[in-house]
Amino acid sequence: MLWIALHLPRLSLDIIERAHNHTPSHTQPPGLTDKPLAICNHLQVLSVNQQALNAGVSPGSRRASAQALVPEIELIAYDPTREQQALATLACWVLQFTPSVGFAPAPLPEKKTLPRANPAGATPPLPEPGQAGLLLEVAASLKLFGGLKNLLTELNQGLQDLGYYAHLGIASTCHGAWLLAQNQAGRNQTTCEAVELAENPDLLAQRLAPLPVTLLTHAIKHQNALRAIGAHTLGDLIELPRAGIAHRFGKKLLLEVDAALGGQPQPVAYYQAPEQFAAKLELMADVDRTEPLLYAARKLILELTGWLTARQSGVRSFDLLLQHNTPPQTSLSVRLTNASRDPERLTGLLRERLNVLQLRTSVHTLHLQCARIQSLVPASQSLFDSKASTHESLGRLLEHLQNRLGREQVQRLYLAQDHRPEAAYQIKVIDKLEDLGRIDTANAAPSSPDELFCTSTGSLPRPLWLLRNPSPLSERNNRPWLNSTLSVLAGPERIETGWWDTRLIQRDYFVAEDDTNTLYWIFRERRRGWFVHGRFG
Amino acid sequence: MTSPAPLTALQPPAHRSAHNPALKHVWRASQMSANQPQAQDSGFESLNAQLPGAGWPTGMLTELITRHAGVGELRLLVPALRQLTQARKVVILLAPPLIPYAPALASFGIDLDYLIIIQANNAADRLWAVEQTLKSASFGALLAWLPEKRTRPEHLRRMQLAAQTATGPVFLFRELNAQFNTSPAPLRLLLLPRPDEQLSVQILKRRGPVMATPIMLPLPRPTASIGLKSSLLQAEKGITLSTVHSRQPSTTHREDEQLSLLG
Repeated sequence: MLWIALHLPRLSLDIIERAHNHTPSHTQPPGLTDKPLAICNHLQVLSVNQQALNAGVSPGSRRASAQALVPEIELIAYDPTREQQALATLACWVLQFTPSVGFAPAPLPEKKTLPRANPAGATPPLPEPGQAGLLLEVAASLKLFGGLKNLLTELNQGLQDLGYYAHLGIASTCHGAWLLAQNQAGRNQTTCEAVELAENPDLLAQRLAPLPVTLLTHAIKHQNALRAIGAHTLGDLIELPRAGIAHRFGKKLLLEVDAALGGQPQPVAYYQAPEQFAAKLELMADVDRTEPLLYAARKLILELTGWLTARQSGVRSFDLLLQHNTPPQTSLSVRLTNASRDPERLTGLLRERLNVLQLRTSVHTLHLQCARIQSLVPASQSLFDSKASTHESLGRLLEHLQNRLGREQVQRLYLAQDHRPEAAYQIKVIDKLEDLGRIDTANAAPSSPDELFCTSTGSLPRPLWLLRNPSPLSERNNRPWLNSTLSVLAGPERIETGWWDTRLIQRDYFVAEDDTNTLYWIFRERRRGWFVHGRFG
Repeated sequence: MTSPAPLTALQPPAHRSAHNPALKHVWRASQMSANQPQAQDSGFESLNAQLPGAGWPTGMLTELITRHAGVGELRLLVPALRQLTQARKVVILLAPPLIPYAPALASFGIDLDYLIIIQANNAADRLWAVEQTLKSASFGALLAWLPEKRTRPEHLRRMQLAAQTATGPVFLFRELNAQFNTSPAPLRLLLLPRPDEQLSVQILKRRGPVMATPIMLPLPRPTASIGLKSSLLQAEKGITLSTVHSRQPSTTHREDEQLSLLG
């Protein structure tokens, strides 16, 4: 077992700030994160941002004194449900590193128990202030990521991209890792130390020894007594006789120490990713430009791709909802030609959509939902530029175009079995790349001209351009006129069909030429005169 | 190393170039550019002979200037498109001005499975789409109709830059007044219809010597159709409609009487 505990000491602040701190301060509109900000409950300040800290407000001070020190400080009420939601989304995201993710703090053993199976299906608890965290069991993932060091690098980078600040603790026991992560007063575990500890679990007692004893949940109410007997650190406590500890401070404290050191099993309920993905990001200031919106939306996309990785799936379409101050919300639907979970690709598509979006009013909340996912096996890399990679890049191009121009603007042609010129073809939307037909299949025979229904031998040549609607021609000297007199080169070919539906046509088609030698496909309809229907492109 | 170096330097340049293979790289104004990576066979021998690289150039823009759609500009490209689609390469038609008529395309042997049509009504979208398509370079050929009024030289320069990675020919269709403006496209052709299904192709610009006289090309026609009467012949004789008929329509309708009034 190897546990990574993520302690998110300033989760509430991160939830607010991560949507904004994207631009250098000089280009940033005032009123976002330049402002001192503090999270507080009804009495106390719980956490503060850097600006507030510089102004002299520190966590633990009273609300009133914070307001007195910095009149412009923005006090935001601590909201455990917001942290709970953020933790659930973050748990989704870390599922890409390991399937075994629990919420910290994990329930401690109440009495000596036998090990039992891990209960599954945890829901994020309502975190205590400053106690939000996640527990990851990563022993099975080390090989996949190429060692603990690489995994930690990826995890740290990912958390930074998401905009979360976390302390990491790594240990062979779940509670030990959590204690190490919480040790903010002391120095954090370095990656080297973590790797060393992972390789040599016997070092755990030595590493835990300098931690303050007050980190233990069951030691808090005895902290004065513990200080009085000189037990300041965990190491001091361990050296005391066990019977005496149990007697003076209760069995629970002993069990907690045992759990941290690995002497007592501590079952963790593992989180299971939901079937549907929905995440939201509240923008603390109203945003009316697309660049900050994209920045904020990227955070959501990163969360989405983490969830997709955990499910080994790719997304075919997703929706971004922009909530405005006044009701009708803007909905952007992004579709992909094939499933993907590449954050760069998804962000690129969203960028195109946001760039052409005319924002009615400013936006205060972003919601990301994804409706269609399908399982996705990553393709192996090819050494040479293959047909498949051209195919792939064509798919990207089409989805890129569809994304901005509209889905129905990317089309292909089909032949239809009808003699009527306007019914002899069909235009269909290319929905997915497979609609393009036999691109993948090797040695497919091209359609031979004798499959054609409408150009039998002896008919007039068909024009390459067809007008959407036949346009009427005027007549001069009983001859059709289109800028000049049209002279007939061939025809007529009578097309009289379609009696079975409402579009009966009775036409005689001719090929005609004007005085610039341009050829036209014209017809004369009974009692309705001349029309031009096509051009010989 | 005993050859008398000063002597060779004194020899006249013409003499030198005949013997020195290094000077093959010097381009003369009377020659076609030799620096053509690849070209797509145009299907017309007389045209190939006049194009640098002996075909439609790839990796650069080719401008086709016409008065309007329907002078034979697509039939000029039919042999190339037929070869490309039958080699299972995708041909993209970007913002065609009219409906590309599927039966006619198929009767020319163009495989519709490899034809993609992209509509873009808005001029800005259209220019954007051309550039994106060029950047992706995943097509066998691109045929794009530019919004003439909104196309600025910088758009064309960006397109020419983006086209350099393309593996297929890129055709931009432009209106007649574009011929008087400069363009970064290395190949520019002016197309005019001529009688008897011919097309006059005037090369306005190419990487090669200036060409004053247009080339006359007989345009391809679908295999399964009847021929057209020569327009010259008709002009001389003033042929009436009834004699033009190659196949009499059924005579059950009264229109025949009206039709015969024509001409």
